[in-house]
Amino acid sequence: MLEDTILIWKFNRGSSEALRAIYEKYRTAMLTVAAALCNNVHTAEDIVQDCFIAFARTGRRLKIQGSLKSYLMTSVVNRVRDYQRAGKRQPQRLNEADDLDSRQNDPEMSAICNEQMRCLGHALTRLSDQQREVVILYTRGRMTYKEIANLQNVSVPTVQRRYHSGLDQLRVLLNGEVEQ
Amino acid sequence: MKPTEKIEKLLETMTVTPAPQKDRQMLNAILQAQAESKQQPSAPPEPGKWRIIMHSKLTKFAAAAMILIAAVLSLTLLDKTVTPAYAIEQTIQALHSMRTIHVKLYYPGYPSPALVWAEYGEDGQIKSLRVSQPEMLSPSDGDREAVVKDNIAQVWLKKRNMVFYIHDQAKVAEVGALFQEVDPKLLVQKLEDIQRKGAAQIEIEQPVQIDQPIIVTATLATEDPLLGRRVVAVVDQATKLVTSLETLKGDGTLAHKNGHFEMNDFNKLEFLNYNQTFEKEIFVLNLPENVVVVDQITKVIGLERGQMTLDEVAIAVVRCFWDNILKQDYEAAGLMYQGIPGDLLKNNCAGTLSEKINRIVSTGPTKPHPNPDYKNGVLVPCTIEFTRNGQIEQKTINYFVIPVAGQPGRWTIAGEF
Repeated sequence: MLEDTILIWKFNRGSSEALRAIYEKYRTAMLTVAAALCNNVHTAEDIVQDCFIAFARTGRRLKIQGSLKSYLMTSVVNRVRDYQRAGKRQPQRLNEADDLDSRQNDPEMSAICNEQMRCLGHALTRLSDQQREVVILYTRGRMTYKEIANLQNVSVPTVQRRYHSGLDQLRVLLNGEVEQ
Repeated sequence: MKPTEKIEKLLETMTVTPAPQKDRQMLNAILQAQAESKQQPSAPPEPGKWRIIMHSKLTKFAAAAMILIAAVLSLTLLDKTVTPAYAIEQTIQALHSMRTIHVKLYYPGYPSPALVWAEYGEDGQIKSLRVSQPEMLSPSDGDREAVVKDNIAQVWLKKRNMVFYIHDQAKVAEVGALFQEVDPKLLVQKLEDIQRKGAAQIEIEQPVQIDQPIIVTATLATEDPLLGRRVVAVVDQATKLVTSLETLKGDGTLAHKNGHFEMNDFNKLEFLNYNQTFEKEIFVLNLPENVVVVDQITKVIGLERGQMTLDEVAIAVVRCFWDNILKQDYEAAGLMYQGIPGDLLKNNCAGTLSEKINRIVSTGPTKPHPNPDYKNGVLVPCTIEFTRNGQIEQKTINYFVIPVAGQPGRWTIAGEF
């Protein structure tokens, strides 16, 4: 947290080293969250790049009230929502959701995917948008229930309920694969 | 383990990493966006909640009361107000946004300073540079004006009425060597490095008044070639940019120079015109019509070293020069001499001598230059026999042979002729 404070301080003074450090620290987590939410690694990369470019352009005006991580994750979620709203990519359904492991055939891509990931990716698309956000942001975005509640503009118990019901649904959908 | 815990475990192992190439592309795009945003002026602050709140009459009354209380408190607490402590890092950060700078470098006891104008590119590297050096630094050349732009250096030696066009990264860097000594980024960064290593005692005087400058005095444990033994930097408190810097080299004793006592090697730099757009003429030399152009960009200069040793090629260059003089092929001779135009060679020196020259008596052996700063070449003594007033005489001339700037593997005679 202290390190993030220093990075933000330097970033606000125009330090490209600070921006680079922030990027290197959070890019994987952001990309994972984005890919899990939109179930497409290529789109996720675009989204993360857009997030960071917007972040870089804030220049000296950046004021963060919570944590830097939460700020960046929120930025990812908002962009995923925008993307889906704009119809650039419709929410995936089971038979369409094959992008999380599609990069295995692309020599330039290095996504770490396997069969379980593919199944998980499929299962995640079956959750509601709110459930998927909660499950992904809590487990992969390392956000607190409170931070997610603020993002979704709901109460903390609602977020907890969405999380547990989301996990239950995933358990049912993945019954078999997870037990193996 | 419960099934839901297994799901959580599985979710936690889910990781997507960008491909290295994409990763680099993304990072470059992001850094580019940051660089562009630095160029743009800051947007005016948007009217926010503060303005909305202040429209309320009740709030106005409360605010007035608060201001009154604050004013009373400030009178009692003013002396105890803590100004954020200055650190050299702040100046380094401030200098990151430097796009242009004009520097004056004063030499002790000499009225004319060296002048430098520098323009940085978006990548932080020097884009355009002009260096104006007084005659004192090179009496035989006179005042020197140099412009470095687009990786080409133009060096105008006013006393010799010659301009050299040079295209070579190393030579361009050499022309800009003076700038290295006056670059505030480099100097302040170096000061911070020394401070971090604990190799300097730093004293910072930061006045309470914001309009008063911060004075940073550094006493180095050992003399630094750039900063000397002691550095006094004056820093603008508002912008944190360094406005002047004095360096003291040597032992700090007084020496009698130019009719009065001065401290040894005491230099002063003034940093002016931060981030002000220069007129384009600054980076264009205003050359006289009759200036002699020595073009080292389009002409092939000197001799190819090939399999020859350094001594062999140096001797070969000098011999080739004199062979061509004897053949009265001044253009070819000029190519052995940094590319000096043949006409100039003919008129100024060799042309008149050649009528009397009998032969080349000897060339070599080579020897190092007596000035230890000139390590990049060797001296080649050349003895010429000529007839003067019916008498046969001999004369030995030492030629300094160096690599040709921008033409790797080729060697040429350098210096005055």
